[in-house]
Amino acid sequence: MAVNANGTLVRLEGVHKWFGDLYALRGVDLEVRAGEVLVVIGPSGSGKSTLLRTINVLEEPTEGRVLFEGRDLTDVRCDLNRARTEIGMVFQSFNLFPHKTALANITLALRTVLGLSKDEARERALAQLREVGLADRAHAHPGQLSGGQQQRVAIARALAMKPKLMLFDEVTSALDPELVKEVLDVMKRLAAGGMTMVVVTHEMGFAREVGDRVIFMDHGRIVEEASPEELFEHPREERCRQFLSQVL
Amino acid sequence: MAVFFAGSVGVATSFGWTPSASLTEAITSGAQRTVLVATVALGLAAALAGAATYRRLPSKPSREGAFTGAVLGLQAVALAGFYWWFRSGDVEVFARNFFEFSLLGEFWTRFFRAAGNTVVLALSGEAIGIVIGLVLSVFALSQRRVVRAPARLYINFFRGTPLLWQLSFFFFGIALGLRINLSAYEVAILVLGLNAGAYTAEIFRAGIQSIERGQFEAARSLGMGYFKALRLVILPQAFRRVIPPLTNEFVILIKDTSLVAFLGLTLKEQELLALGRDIFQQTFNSTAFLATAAGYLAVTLPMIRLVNMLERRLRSGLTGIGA
Repeated sequence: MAVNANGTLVRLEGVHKWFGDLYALRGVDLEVRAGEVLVVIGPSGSGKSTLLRTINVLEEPTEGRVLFEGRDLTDVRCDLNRARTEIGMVFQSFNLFPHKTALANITLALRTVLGLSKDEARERALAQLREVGLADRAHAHPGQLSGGQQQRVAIARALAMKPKLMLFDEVTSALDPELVKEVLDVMKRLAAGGMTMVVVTHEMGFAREVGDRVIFMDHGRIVEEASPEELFEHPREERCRQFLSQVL
Repeated sequence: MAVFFAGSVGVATSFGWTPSASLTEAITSGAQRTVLVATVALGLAAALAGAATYRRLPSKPSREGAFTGAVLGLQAVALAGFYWWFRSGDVEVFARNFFEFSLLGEFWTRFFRAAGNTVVLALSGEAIGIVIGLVLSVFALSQRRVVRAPARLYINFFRGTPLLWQLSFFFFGIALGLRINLSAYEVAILVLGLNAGAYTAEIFRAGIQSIERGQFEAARSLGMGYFKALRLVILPQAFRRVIPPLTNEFVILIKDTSLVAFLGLTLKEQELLALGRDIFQQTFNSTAFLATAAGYLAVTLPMIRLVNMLERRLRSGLTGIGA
């Protein structure tokens, strides 16, 4: 897949993150270009998820800046809620609102954050559910859906906001093996449609097939960064080689 | 099945059947004595038969039947024994003290008004408590110590001092002492509300904390602010989870309204216990206390039922929350 070279969407500058005594991110610089699919891999505890969560400032960096379209999201004067409407996020544990139907999960933020009318929100939500193949489950509660279906609703919920960037945090890790494909298929279609995506994943096949660029993280640092072919075929760093030999 | 039946008959006869019109006469009659002897015999037989056959019965339901029969038999024997002990005492005095319902005749209207007052005190106290509790619970969960500290202080103070002290202090100390023009009844509602607020705050806090962090993160990632996420995502879920402890707190509050009796209420303001005490002082008969207990149960039992129903309805409307 070609990289659209139409500018930088996200720039992380010298991002450090401490959780109490735990040094999770040790100075990360990163650029995400508009239209690219950036895949983040690495062993558990390497800081991949933390890195992803600093992009929409669910984790506030202890030090460093997060720029989204040139706006500094770590600046207190920045309207973070507004910026977050343009950054969709999908979580490992789905985090659908269990007291609301699939449809209402999607319309909630459309109505209360974007201020759409009832009909507009409903229409947009239904269109989005069709997109992920769940139009017929619009009125089901999350508890009545399979893990794969729940995760597709969660993706639809994020997409309905019409974001410029999508963050995926190990979105297939909590799924039964036979449900992984339906979620990955949705993500592949999304990537093919030109969405800018940052994907933390253990699905190496997906990383290879869909990623435009892969970064390997270890101990809170970006250790290696390359195209998927290069990184998976000829990893330069020893730690990266070790990791790949264990997961491939 | 036969064993089960024998046990049931034993229990039923010892209670249900009184052959004479006058209570005292019935309790001490010879017929009652025969029934009691029969009850003990049947109960023992049921217990023994059940215990003996339990292991040899072929199916799970029949074994359960034998077990139930044996236990019912033992219960019948125990109750009959207690009843025997009771009727060998002075039944006459007992009945006069506790079952002289004719004395209550003239108090009926006051009784209903008192029951109404109890309900008003409890409901308005709870309403104030929920509002205070909601605000306090959010303060108590703040990341910032300066916001948290006053809430903790309030909660600990009202949970740490007796309600009777609070009622006395606010009425005698503040309302009367500082000549604030509030009746005992008004002070009571206020104090019950302040007190309930502290307990409700802890219930809400636990409820909010029980919601997974991811719910809040999902809401924030969709662009909702802190309070919007709280209001639209966290609280609706938390509220469903706290219905059982909230009911429990409310039932305790209903009973705690009885402490208001010590403030000296006017006739119109009297709640159930104050009235019961009043009647006792006029008649020197404890039947009033029994009637009062019935009054409390008449309020609390339907309340418990109602909230249980509500809880089931809320639960059935959604899957995947709570147990």
